[in-house]
Amino acid sequence: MLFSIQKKISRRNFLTTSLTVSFPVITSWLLSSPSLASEEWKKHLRNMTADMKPVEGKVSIELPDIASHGNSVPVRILVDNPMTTESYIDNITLLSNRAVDPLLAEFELSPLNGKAEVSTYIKLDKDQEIMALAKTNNGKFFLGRRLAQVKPSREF
Amino acid sequence: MLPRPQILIPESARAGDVIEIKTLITHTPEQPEKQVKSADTNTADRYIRDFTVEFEGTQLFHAKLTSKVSSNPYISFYMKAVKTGDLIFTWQENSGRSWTTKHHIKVS
Repeated sequence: MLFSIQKKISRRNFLTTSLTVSFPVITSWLLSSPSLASEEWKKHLRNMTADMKPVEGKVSIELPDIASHGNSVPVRILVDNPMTTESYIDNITLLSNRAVDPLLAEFELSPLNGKAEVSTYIKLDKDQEIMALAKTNNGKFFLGRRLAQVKPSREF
Repeated sequence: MLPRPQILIPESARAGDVIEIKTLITHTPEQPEKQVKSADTNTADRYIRDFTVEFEGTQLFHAKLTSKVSSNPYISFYMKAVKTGDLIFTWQENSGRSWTTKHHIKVS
């Protein structure tokens, strides 16, 4: 099975595969970490999606495996959705589960962008889960999540 | 130091090309000894709150940022090249101050 995976490996395939493989690990991590499953966090997500359940698997978040400097961590968000006048991503919201106010940044897009992809640098004071919630012009939601790890700094 | 905007974009593109636009604003808060406490915000608490890009009067991209984005915000996004025109980039600080820069793109 591993061989068949390696044969058709591409960047996107690799992301999907690594997500699938690491899924049980992430799930157990989610369950073991009470802050992630907090009611407050779930409530926040429900408010943002107007109680609609977001579809997972279409949003990729690229981050370094372990960031060396917490004050400037590169993050790239890619949404697997066309950008045509019929169907496009009109909003991508970047969130963190660790902050009191989970919002990191929010991006407004339109078919003029041609591609639903944005990148920026964020501050990460400690390990946390980063989520990207993408909304389509038809009101559908896609959710991507990714663990962000930061190398402990000697300065602190 | 005054904030300095930087744009990295192809000088020209073919119609239909999807090009990446990279932006950076050097926006380092002043050193603590230089801080001036004003009624609204301490200079160290200042951050870029809004970033807007317009192409020929139409909004192409908008970002709402928080203090959790790096102090010198780098933002990249894409644009589908359709016609020749001007891009206007505007950054706004949470204090209300803003900076604008223009970039011309040639589309053939």
